[in-house]
Amino acid sequence: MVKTTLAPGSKVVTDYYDRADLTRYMEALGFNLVGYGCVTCIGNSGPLPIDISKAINESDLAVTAVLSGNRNFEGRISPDVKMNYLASPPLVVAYAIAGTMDHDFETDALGKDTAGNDVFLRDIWPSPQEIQSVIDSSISSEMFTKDYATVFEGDHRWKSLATPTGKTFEWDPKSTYVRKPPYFEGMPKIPTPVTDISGARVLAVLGDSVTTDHISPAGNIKADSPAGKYLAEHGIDRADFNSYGSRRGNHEIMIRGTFANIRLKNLLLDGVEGGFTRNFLAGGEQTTIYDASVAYQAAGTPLVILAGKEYGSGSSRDWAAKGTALLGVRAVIAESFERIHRSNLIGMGVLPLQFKEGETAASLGLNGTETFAITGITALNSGGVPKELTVTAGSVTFTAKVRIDTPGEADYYRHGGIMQYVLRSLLAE
Amino acid sequence: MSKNSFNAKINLDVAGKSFEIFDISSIEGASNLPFSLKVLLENLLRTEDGANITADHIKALASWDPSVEPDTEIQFTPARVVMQDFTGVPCVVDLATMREAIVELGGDASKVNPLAPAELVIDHSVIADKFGTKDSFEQNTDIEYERNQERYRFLRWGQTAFDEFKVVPPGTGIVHQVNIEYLARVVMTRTVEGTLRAYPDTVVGTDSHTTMVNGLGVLGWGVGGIEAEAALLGQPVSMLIPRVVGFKLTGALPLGTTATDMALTITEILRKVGVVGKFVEFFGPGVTTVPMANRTTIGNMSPEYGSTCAIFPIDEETLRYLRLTGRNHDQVALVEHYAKKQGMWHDPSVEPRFSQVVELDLSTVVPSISGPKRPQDRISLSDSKNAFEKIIPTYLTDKTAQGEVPAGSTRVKNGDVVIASITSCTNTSNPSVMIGAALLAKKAVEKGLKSKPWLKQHLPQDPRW
Repeated sequence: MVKTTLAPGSKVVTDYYDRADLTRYMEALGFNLVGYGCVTCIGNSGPLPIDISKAINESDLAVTAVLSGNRNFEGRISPDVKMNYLASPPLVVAYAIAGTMDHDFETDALGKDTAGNDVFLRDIWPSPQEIQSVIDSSISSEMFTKDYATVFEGDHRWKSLATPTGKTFEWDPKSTYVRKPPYFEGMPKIPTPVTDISGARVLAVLGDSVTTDHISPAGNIKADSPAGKYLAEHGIDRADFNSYGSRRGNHEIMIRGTFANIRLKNLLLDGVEGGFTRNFLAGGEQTTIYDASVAYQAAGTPLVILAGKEYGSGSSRDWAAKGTALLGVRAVIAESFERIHRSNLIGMGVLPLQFKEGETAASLGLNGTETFAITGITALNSGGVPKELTVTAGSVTFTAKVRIDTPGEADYYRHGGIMQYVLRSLLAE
Repeated sequence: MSKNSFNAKINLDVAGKSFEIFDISSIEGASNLPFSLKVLLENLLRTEDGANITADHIKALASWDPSVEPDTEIQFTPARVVMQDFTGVPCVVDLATMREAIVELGGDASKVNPLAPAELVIDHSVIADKFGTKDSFEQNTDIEYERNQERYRFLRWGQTAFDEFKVVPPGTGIVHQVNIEYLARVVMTRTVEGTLRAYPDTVVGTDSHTTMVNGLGVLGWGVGGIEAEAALLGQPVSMLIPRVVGFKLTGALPLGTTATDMALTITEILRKVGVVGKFVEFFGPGVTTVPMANRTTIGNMSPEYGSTCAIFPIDEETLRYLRLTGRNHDQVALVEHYAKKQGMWHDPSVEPRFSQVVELDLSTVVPSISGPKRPQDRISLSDSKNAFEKIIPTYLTDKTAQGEVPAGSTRVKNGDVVIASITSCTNTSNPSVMIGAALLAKKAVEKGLKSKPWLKQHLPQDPRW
């Protein structure tokens, strides 16, 4: 049983299939249109027929997917399929007919024709001339102009969506997908001067190569996680939790997922993996990072993160920086930063500081139980950017490098973040 | 407003209109820069503000030493932003929130708009719940709307509320294809302080395969949400002046091979070379023979190579494609004249300075697949059975059944193809492979062949599909 799907990236494709009278042949092999979108390529392949899925899982079969896509990492295409092959569209059709990857197109027939003769791939592979002649007779620039003339209009479903009008959005208080984030709450018209940080506690002590995957929520939402509990409290069934990706428009979900990666190792705890920390306001008891952050923010206690080398490597995720800021983290002190995450932290008003060459949290004797004070960042108020500042952690005092690297970044930081900076510039116009 | 320290501002007259442009030829060292760095150089010239973007940055880029490790940070201001719905929603949420904040501070909500054109295509949410029937598309779209109503209402509001922000509704296309077939301007025009200005189209996108548009000579790549937000708020994106790997193409693809075979071959080569964090730029006599559909497939897979972008310069083929896709005559003329004036037009006889040169004779490409888990693990089709038999044991466990096992009214075994999908931005805008697939289907059907296992219609109706 092959799940055959056709998901082109543009309506022009189905237009030229129709004009060349080729749609019916694709449909005869099961390649009916399923949608215009990413579909299988990003794992939206949909469920396999239940009997097939059951047989695969019960017998732990290594079955395959063949797709004309660009990525095939393990588990990406379907949870039931271990092996994924990328191939050109004609080869995808050929493999649908062959039905197995254990097939040699040179020597194994695809089947028999109506007269009982073997049919090989070479017998049905179209020649470049045949392809070119169909292209010439069935694709025209009118097709593009016609299809794109109404590209922003949408179908009856789009047009009939009950949509608020008005310059500002009427947030639906019940929505668990789209909510108004608190970035601008209490924001004054003129930026208040940058202040030093004192009385700060450590939310996490992290090792080397902590990636944005560790920091920022991705994938499924676990039922017993803070994000899962939030959804349950809002009356969402577990089956409708959907992914962190689809809920990126709801900061409440994304904050609760920040640092909630099950493989995160917070060195404040011994041998515990996952999004946990110690709440020093409650005698250092173990709790989730999110719950600790809520307690610290209620008490007005600023937070810092201590990290090793290459902090924030991996692909840039907006919520890695946004989530960090919304947890109440004011500064990250690391041995080194990945470039983009460092700049994103400033964009969200979080100060990136770097241990001096050769120094680390461990070499300074810090274990994260200390209370931190960061002094000297106020030099930003007089126009320049300090190269270094002083950090006091318990009885240890050390110098850290200020990783605000450009004049533009300094402006963002003075304003509390890039959005605040732009907002105030628009206001001033 | 540019400080214009290099007196680069000149006028270019095309089709009866006069455009202000920033001429890069006035800068020493610019003439044999790679195409991609010429585009960046123009960007810095035009946005020079004396603080974040300075004359020194411009000089550093023009006198770029291809052999040095990147250490100079520059600020790149993309001309526009493209987004898909997964990553685009938070950007629009932030814009919506800014609108309320400006009102609270006594300002006017309508002042908050993207400052660079931003276009969002809803393509990530459709799931192939239904398949293999005439109404699969309609049914899947119904389910998609039901699942995503809250997000879609919000985006539709954004579509009308903001200037410079457009939404392509669900069921229309994939962002990168809509980008190459419709959105890409190749040369942008905009009225700045009363003067009509022309400059290279550049883009950042909230999706890694944004590089597909590199095929048209549009410099750009995928970024995270905060960089995209910065760009749509008119702020620059910071980057290091990169190393640029020149990829020399010679010869032409043999009969029976496809753009996919070529892209998989390039993936294998570039993964071995190591191009993470670098630009890749195609040059040489073979460039002319590569049709646009294949160039965009190659650009698309830049993240699979590990490179920041994988770009082609502008040439006659670019213009042919713009005409085919219905771009208007004046725009095509502007692209041609602008590219020629700026030295951005492909000249096969000139080799720009590159950090490293890699070469591929296209006539050596063979039919290929890649897998089973990494795009760079290319397998020649002629060796596919052999390669499969070698790797399958590593996927079998103690629990794995040998031979066929019953699955409802059919049977299934190791190695069976359970998903065959013509999907993805990579290939589905490429008429030669799409029509190739359909012609192959036609010949197969005419000979009486069917997709395995011919049993779908016999399977019990399951409410899930």
